[in-house]
Amino acid sequence: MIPNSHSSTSTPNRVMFRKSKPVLPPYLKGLLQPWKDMDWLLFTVPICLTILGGLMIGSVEANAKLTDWWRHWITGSIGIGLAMLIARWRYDQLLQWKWWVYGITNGMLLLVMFFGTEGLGAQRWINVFGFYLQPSEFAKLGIIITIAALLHQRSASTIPMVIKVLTVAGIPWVLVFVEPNLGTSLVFGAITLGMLYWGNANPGWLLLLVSPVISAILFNMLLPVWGIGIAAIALWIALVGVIAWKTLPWKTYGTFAPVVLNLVAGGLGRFLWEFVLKDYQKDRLMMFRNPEQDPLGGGYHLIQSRIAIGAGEFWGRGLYKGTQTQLNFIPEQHTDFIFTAIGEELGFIGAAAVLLAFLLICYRLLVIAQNAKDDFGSLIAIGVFSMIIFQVTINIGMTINLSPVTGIPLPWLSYGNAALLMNFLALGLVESVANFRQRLKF
Amino acid sequence: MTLLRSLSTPTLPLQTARSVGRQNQAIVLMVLLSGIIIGGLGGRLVHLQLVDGDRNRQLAETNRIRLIPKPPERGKIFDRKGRILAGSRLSHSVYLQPLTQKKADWHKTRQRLADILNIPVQAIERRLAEEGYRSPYMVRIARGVSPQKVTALEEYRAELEGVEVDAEAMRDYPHGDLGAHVIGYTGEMNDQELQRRQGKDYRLGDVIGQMGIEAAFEQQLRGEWGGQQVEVDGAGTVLNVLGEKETRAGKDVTVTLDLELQKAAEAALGIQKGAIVALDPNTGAILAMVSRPGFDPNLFTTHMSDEKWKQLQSQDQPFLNRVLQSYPPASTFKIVTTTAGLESGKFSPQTVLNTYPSLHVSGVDFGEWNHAGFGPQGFVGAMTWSSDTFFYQIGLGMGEKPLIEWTRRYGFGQKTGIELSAEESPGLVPDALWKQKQVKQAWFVGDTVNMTIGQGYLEASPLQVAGMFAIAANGGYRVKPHLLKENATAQAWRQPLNLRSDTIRLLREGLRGVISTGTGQALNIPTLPPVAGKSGTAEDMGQGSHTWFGAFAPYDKPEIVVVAMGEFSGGSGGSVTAPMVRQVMEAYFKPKQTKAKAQQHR
Repeated sequence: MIPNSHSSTSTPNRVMFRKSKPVLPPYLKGLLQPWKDMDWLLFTVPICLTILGGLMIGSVEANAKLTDWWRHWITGSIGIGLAMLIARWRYDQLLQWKWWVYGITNGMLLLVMFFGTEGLGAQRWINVFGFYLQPSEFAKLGIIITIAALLHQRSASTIPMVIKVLTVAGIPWVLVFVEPNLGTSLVFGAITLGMLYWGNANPGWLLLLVSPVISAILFNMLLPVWGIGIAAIALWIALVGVIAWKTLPWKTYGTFAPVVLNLVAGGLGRFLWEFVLKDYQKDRLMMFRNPEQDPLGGGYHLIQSRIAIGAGEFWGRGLYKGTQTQLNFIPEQHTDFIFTAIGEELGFIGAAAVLLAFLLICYRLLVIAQNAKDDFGSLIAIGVFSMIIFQVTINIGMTINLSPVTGIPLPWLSYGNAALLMNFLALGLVESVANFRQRLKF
Repeated sequence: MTLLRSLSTPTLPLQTARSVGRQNQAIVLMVLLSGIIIGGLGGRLVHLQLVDGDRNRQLAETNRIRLIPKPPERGKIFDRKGRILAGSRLSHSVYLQPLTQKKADWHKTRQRLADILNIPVQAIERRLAEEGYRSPYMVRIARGVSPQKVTALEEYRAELEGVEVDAEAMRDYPHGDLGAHVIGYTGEMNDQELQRRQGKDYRLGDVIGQMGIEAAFEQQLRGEWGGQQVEVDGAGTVLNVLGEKETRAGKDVTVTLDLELQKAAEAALGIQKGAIVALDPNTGAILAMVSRPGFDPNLFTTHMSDEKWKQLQSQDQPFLNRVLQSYPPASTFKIVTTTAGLESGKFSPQTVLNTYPSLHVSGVDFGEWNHAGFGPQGFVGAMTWSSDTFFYQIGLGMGEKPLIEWTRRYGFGQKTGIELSAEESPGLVPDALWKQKQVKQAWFVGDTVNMTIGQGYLEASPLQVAGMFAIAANGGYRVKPHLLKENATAQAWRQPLNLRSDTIRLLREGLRGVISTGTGQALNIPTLPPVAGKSGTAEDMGQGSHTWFGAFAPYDKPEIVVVAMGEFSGGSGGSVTAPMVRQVMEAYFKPKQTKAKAQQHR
């Protein structure tokens, strides 16, 4: 059965989600023919977010000239244009280019290691004809395309395939991690896991994959709590064992190895925390749990960010009127902490609207993933979905003291040319998937 | 349209080959997951903005969060025997809340504050501007405020909204101007200095070491800022401590200086512009270091009035540590000329040369200092009488190459490695290349002749000269002058110059001769063990000569090197600076001799 949503006569029994089509005058209809089946809702929401981003950056900078807010709109316009171009171009051509994409991604990351400009204590930027580019941003899209192409050939339902994907994702991950750019390396992880899951990997394996990290955290949190803590850890290790028993092909070793690995990881995590990490490093990681412990340093800004958002109340204090924002109490507010300004000046209404906008974007991405004509397109949409949802969660979580400060920007809202451009390129690619979802047209 | 579409539609039906995303209702799970995550964030927003909104609005609106930074207590500085050189005493500081100046009666507050503290209104405004009017930090506008002023502030409390008085440890130098240059002083850093140290736990108004040991050991001495974040009511009363970070006191520093010897050296130099330095020739440990004109470092811990500042500035560069500045080393440099002459192999230890009233070299007369000559002399006699014409001939005989090379080997023309390197001048060892570049002239024989007696372009600091005497004293090793008592690397640093034993012997005998029969007889006294030394007088047109005297003792087993230098003092090294060296030596050996005598009597 062929899903055929544009033709009303066919029965759309495989199509779960349908969208209403805008009614346009005929001459426009012709003009827009190449983009006819694009997801216009998905395209419009990010544009609105970009416009809002420019306004908020302008508000943040009313009193602190850090950069010109309108650059956000300029870069956004270029991004929109590129996205439109990509949307009418057949994305599946990328299948043949996957190793090129992968090679360029890694090449740029290597280049930045040797010729990069240092900033914020890491080698992140590369100067191309006077423009500062951040290859780690474009690398996000690079690994989405590469992994999607790999899983298109063979799904992740076998363990060797999962290992292959992990290896391929591992190289750029390491390159970004040593920059050091912890935030982006976490995004890579989220993208890889999301795509593996969608690519039919056994969820148990994915759980086993992240289990050592969970063990390390649990050991640190629970071991000092004797009794119940030990019991909880035992329960967790037992769960790991059961999952391994159920999902891995080699019963004895397959169960034994993850259990041992988790115990080692837990012990190692505990050791690192107690003896290797310096106090200030621990403080940075745990600051969000208790910003009050360093009221004059990083904690101050976290407290201020929380108060600022809270002070917005329901209707907000009005654009350019947030005292916390206007007094520049929060650092990096035009980039990583832009949501704080939205929360304070536009209130719960504005903040909730932004959350809804992201929810809508996520929903449409999933719809496209579901309706894509092939695995490649479907996986691209899921990769972009994983990236967006993870960045939104960690970034907004940071401003309201729910997640640690890792330097992950908020898509389309945070100031940053590379990130904004990359988000639009990703959007264009997904729109191409949507546009060519059922048949060849030209 | 329909036609077009059907035409463009390929006849081959495209099979949907999608196989991914099918397990366990993946799509449903993903949609749910997004909903839960974003819903969770929304829930937190509800809590912050709607439930706690009023309280957060209040906190933000009245800006009731105050940051009260607490400066760390600075580490103390002790002399080698644990006697205090720099410590702290408790004092009062006045802080101002920057947002206060938005209030209507700010000009009244400002005027009252300026009157009580006796500082200009502009000074207050300047501090506020530096910190930024919107800063959440309390700004310190005065330090070291007297108890009377604190009482006055209490009295006018009603008019002084936003002003707070806090106890704070202040730097205290119990010995006043003693060792002011080497100990240094502390002062508030300004905007530019802050920019230079951005991101290193420094803040505006922070007190930092500005000179000497205080600056060199800033890292150890300063400690770590702490502070409180508090919530206050409209009147500024603390309602609630939101967070607190303990201050971490700075580490104490013990230096090699000896307080008693330092006092003696201060007294010896008196009001003479110049410098005295004493060090242990075996280790390089500095025992005393004096520079004149001086200043009282305590002046910097409080607000300095303009008159005081002008008065200080009217003297000739009182903040310059002259021990580390360079001057022509004059005849003390004959130590290097002797070494170079013997080590170059051009002159044997038995060399005897006639000396003259003057020597005619390529058209110029180079005179003997006594305008008569001393008859035929060997190296020892020439050193004893400080015969210029003898050393001219040594220089002419060996040429400038070995002389310049040995000057460098003695450590001239480069920093000594003392911890105060920021204030240290490397001096100058001229050579043909340098002269061509700076003077635009070739190197003449006359330059070599001038250099043999430490004149011409050659420049050296008293500390470098002390290093030179240390080499003669310890049998041919360069040592690293240092101030930190626990400086293990400096103590272990000993660079052998590989001098022949004859060279060392002749040097030492010559320097001993200076004291026993020559220009340094001021030190030939029974209260001192046998001393060896050398005078120097650098002729300087117009302003009077620089005078030098360097010596070490005891002659057999040297423990101390003392070098004194009088800047434009006039007179000669033997008459002006030799008595200063004697005074320092006496102070050094007196307690030892009394101890030795006491042991004999027992």
